[in-house]
Amino acid sequence: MSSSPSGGVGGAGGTSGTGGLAGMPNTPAPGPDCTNVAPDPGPAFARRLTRFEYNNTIRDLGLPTGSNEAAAAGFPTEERRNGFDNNADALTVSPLLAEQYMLTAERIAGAAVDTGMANLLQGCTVTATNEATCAESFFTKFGRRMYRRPLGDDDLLILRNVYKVGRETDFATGIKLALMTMLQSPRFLYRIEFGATPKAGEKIVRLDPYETATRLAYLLWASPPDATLLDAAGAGKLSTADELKAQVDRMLDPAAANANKLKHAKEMVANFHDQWFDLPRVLDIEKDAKIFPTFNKGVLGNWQRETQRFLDWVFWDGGGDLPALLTAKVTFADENLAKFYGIPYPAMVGPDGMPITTVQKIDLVDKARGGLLTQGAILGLYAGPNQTSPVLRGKFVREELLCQPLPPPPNDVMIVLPPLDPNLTTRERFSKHATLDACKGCHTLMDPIGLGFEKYDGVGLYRETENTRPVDASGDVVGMTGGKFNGVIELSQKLATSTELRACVAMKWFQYAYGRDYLPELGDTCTLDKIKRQFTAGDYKFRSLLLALANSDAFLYRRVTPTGGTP
Amino acid sequence: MTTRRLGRRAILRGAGVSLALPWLEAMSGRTRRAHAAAPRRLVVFFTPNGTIRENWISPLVTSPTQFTLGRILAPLEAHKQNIVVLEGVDNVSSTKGPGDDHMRGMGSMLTGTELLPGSTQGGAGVPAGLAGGLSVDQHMVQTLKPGTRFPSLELGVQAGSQGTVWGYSNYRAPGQALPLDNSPRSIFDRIFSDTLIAGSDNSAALRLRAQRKSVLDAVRESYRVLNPKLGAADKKRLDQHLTTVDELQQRMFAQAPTEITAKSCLRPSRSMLDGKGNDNFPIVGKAQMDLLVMALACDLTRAATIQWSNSVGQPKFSWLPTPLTRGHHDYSHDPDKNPDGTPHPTVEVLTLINIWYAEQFAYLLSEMKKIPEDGGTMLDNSLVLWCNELSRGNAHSHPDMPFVLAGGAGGRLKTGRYLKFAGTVPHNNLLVSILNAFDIPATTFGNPAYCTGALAGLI
Repeated sequence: MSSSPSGGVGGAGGTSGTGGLAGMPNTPAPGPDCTNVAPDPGPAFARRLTRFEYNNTIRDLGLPTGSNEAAAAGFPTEERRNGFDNNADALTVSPLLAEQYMLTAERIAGAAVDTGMANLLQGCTVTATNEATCAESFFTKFGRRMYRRPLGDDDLLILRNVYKVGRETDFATGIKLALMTMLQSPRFLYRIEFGATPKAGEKIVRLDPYETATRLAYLLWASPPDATLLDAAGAGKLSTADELKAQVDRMLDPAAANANKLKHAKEMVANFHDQWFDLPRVLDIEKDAKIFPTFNKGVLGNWQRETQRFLDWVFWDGGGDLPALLTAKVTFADENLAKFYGIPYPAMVGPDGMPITTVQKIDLVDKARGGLLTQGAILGLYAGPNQTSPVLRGKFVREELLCQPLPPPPNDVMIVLPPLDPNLTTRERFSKHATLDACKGCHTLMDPIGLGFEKYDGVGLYRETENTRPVDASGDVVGMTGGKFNGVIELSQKLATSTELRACVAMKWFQYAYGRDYLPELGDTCTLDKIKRQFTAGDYKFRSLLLALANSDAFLYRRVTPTGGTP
Repeated sequence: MTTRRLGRRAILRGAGVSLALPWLEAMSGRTRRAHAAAPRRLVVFFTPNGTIRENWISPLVTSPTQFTLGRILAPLEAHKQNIVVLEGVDNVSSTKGPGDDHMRGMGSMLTGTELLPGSTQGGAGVPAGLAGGLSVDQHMVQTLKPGTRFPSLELGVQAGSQGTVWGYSNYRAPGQALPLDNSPRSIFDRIFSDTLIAGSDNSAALRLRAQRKSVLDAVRESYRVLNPKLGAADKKRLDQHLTTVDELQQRMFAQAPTEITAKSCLRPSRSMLDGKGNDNFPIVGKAQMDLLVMALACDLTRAATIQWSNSVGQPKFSWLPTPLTRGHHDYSHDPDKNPDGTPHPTVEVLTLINIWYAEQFAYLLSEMKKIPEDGGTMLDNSLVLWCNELSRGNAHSHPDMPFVLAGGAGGRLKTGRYLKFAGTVPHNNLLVSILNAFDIPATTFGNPAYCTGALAGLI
């Protein structure tokens, strides 16, 4: 293992995901030696459903939302940690959320019994004499889908009792009250795990099959396990590597028969990308119309859609590998966006004889375009309202693509952007950062990257000159071997094959997939090392990364935690 | 009494026989709330992105009680005898710690302390977490434990950025923000759907209460059977969840369902507003203020916040006589002067935005004045704080914060005053004085490094 060419995130890339600048990017640390390290899945917390997962769960259970909004529309926004909204440790419950769980349960359950109970009763038809049988069918069969495992006696008793209270009014009220209870139960709102019963001396245990099925479903679909997964769990068919791989293949099957399932996987990935790159924020971008006369708000939706469609294509279709993220000569634009960029939009005629002007996949011939970093969403988001921003662009690359967090500026620094000056280039206006002692430590890590983006203005348009002076787009990823570059296309090529980006992508997925912080301890280091190794062996295909995440000890095992003891 | 008394048949018809049975005690005669002094409440009114100081301050202060109002506060003229304008109070606690100026200003506004470290990226590239302390309203509630149906209510008017420090005013513990409810429809469902109000038809409310009680009992049982089986970390997490459900249940059902008899307490009609849509900002704000005032009139809470937008908020003031096309925060970054030294037109725009907010503040005070209570009006029995996370938007500054207080706090606050403070006067002192107005004998609040006691001469 120690012969690893890539090392850990703290390895040959030389970067520590959480260690700030403790190890500067230019001080490579040796990769971890995981040869004789016992597998340690790290801490695993009961994960509360996020709004995204809650909505998907209600949808897959076939339950109505009882309103014209998404089921979870009234829930408070999750706190984002490490950029992601699904960090279990941050998902605390406010009094407002407890109230909204109650109100939402009432809305859903009310609508569910009003719209016929066939789905709830799972095939049982109510007659004058079999109400009790149908109620049991609801508890055990629909309950198994809601709690994602067969119900225990405790939970059955609770549901029978609350049903009885409601039944004193009528059958539907009995079912409604039981459903309201289930929708607020910890077995529904959380993914509760215990793992198998440990043998003496065991420090880690395998998850039980239902827990594994649930993890798989929320990992790959952000949705609850379907009948196939639950049945496989019931039959004990989720234990071998082959059985797992067969499920992952099924869950990500591109065949038309499974299109609906793949759609869920795509939504999960889109949710990851939206958060990683902050894409919802693109719609809020403000630009100064005097400085950027061709820009208007209509561009924002096009930018967002361009990057979302591109990311989807890169992940699932266009080679599906990491280098494509930064280098694919492809984009998705409608006629307006193509005009905005000044790139050719292919003339096509629709079946009705009218020219097509909608979003199309466009093969880029333009030398200035190709890959994520040349797209308006990124270039516009990481720029000021009336100018570019070498700092924000450099910081984006450093923190989001290289996973090298930067410390905040010193407390006594007044942060004021240098004013626009018709006689100076941006590079000249920001030159103070490189000379002032208080600034240059950190800005050396940002500005030289961001200045390499200078051929793209604040709204992402290509330019050769700024204030009539030629633009110098030379840059340097200080600390990265061979980090000097000229222009974004060359930067993208270098990043695409860099150890740092590969490690960072694995790290981002680790945090999102496992819903927790990456801990700079041996257990997580070796888990991540193994994931990266499989990513490498899989030619940096994103599918291989998903499989690696589903196949790791951190995913299949949990630490033995004494009940009620100390963590 | 007899006219309000529930007939047995009415209940049985209204609620379904068995569900109503636990509630028969409702018929045994109301336990009218002891005729104590009217409740004292704290109301926070937040507006973002700073103000224009030269138009906010008074042009003429002859004495603390003889003053004119500046242009921005002119809409408060009718309430001049009910307010205290504070000029020269500084948010010192926002000058240190992680986060950018908006983040620090917002997080320290009601907590008086630095932000926690965290990963939310500010505009200046300085990441931070949420506020590092308890907010003054929550301190008040946790100290006085008024036992109202809602410990506090946080109402938003398109309050965004939730999940980050820009999005919250209130904290029940360090790092634990209280999310805002932006939907008048949801607020109605939460606070009025199962409230029993004397003189109104309570049959639906009674039925709902009976259902909720049964379901919440079952939900609590679901946690109780599960939690002992969990490992320590999960147990802590789910115990915390159970506690919030217990509190919810406690607030709703601790006492027999007495009808609220306060004369001014009326069940409002259910709003259908979901709170969204930029151009709905004014009507949503009005609906939220109306709900807030009614929640106070029914004594459902003693601490309420109305947060307009959020720090760095971007509502487009399309409803002004000259509609604005850019977002508020974007305007707030414009310079004061053009390169040639002439005044930048945005100074006037930001003045108009703040005048509009002053009009909303005036509306809230007017509505509170309309509710007669022992000792005068609801406003006389309340303390209302208008606050902002910044002093001036383009400077991102925190000295000379635009604080306005209103209401008599049940006789504790002498109003009709304009107080000027010289030198550095930390706003933590104001937070101390607010606690004192609720008879909480605090001498410091927030980080004591930024506090020198109560605000001189206020309470």
